[in-house]
Amino acid sequence: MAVDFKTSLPFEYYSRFLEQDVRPDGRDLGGIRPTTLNVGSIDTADGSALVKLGNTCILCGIKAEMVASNPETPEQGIVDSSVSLLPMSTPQFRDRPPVDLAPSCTHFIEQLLTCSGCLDLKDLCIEKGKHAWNLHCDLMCLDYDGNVLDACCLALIAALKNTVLPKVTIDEESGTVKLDAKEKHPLSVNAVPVSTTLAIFADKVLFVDPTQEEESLATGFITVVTKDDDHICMTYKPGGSSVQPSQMQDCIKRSQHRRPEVLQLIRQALLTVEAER
Amino acid sequence: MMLPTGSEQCQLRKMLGELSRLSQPDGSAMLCQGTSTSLAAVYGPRDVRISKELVDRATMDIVYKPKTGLPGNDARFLERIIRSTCENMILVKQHPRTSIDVIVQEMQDSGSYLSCCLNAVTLALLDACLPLKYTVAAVTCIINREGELHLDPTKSQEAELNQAHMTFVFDSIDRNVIACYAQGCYTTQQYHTCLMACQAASKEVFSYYREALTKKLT
Repeated sequence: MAVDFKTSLPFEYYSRFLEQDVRPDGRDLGGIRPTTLNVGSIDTADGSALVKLGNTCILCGIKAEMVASNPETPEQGIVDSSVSLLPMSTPQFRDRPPVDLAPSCTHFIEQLLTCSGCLDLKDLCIEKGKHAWNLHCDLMCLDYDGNVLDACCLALIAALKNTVLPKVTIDEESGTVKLDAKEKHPLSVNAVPVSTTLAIFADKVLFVDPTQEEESLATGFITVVTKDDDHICMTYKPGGSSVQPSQMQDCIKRSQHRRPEVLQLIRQALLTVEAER
Repeated sequence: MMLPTGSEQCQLRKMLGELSRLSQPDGSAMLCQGTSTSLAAVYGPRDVRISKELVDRATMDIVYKPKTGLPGNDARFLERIIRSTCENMILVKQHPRTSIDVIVQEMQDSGSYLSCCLNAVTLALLDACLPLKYTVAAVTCIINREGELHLDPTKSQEAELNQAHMTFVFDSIDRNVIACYAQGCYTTQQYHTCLMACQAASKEVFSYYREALTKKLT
């Protein structure tokens, strides 16, 4: 009976639950799906992380490539990122793939890397004006069940924290460059941005971490990325239902509340990797 | 945090627009905010391709054309913000199985460009006489290195090392936040101050819409 109700009237089905401040999967409005984080799972990458947020699954691989420095910024390295939503991740993308979803996720991640200041591009310089590291951060969505931005953000930061770069020695006379695969040093990550997404249902109810089902019914989204305990580095609301300024404050508060949990998760995942080494 | 005190920094640049500039679209508008200029055209509701047809509402198709080169990720990001904003502003459920196309052409980006585009799109929608739930006004502000707030920054102000760069979009009824894109490093208090400053400034944009339409209709 409940299944029929859900299929025929999904909106009413959700409304009934939300009236009682609970969601069909048993979470309350502030509940986040169980999150697991696994770092260093890809051997061939310099850093990697696999995030599962409920059913949403994001894999991040970071590959460092040595390139000639950009003449415009001789003291800096280069970071590029890409988010790909694979066709296998959801049947929804088959008939009408949203053309702007993956590129706007990519742009969001790129902006996040610059404005959070988690990487100092000067650290990626090997020799001024000659050699620099180019970090390719590739994020792949293997399973799309809503809230990819949060999962991408977590995967990216965990992978960056897991990244180790080989030591480079430059022969001054001949100018040849040698990579020492045995001696590696970790990349310094200066800040840990944590992203929290809220969905707006029926123009008034706000809930955290929407699944795909909830996303298709939602009338708007708000993503807040916190930089540290009292600073925010990004607030992103791409249209949708209008919210009052006080509700935006509420969203920021909720995202600050989420922060310690994510930090703990990253810390634990990194500790298990170190223990294995 | 310092609140804007000087008259110059808490004012928007002069807005200048022209409606129905293009002959083919159902509605079009060119809007200059200071020297930032964008041109928006609206077609629709018109025929929709079968593959894009939605049975319960109109399909919104947004195209953003940069001045040079191919549209990249940033253009798609902008399109997404424009699309979600328009979907909420237009009564899409009144035009099922149709397509409403909005084309935005970058003419000159001299700062606060997202808000310039969104305001041009709103004017174009008004010019196309599409039934709207409300109109929207976008206002951009920055917090500079000294912690001062500047409304409607120019390109050179944006290029400096600022603390934050924020764009807010408000509706014309309750002045609530429709869209928001804020980046940098800021506290909740700073965010709120910027929001309030932009909300107050949005009044100017709305009164400009009225002025532009009055000019067109008389």
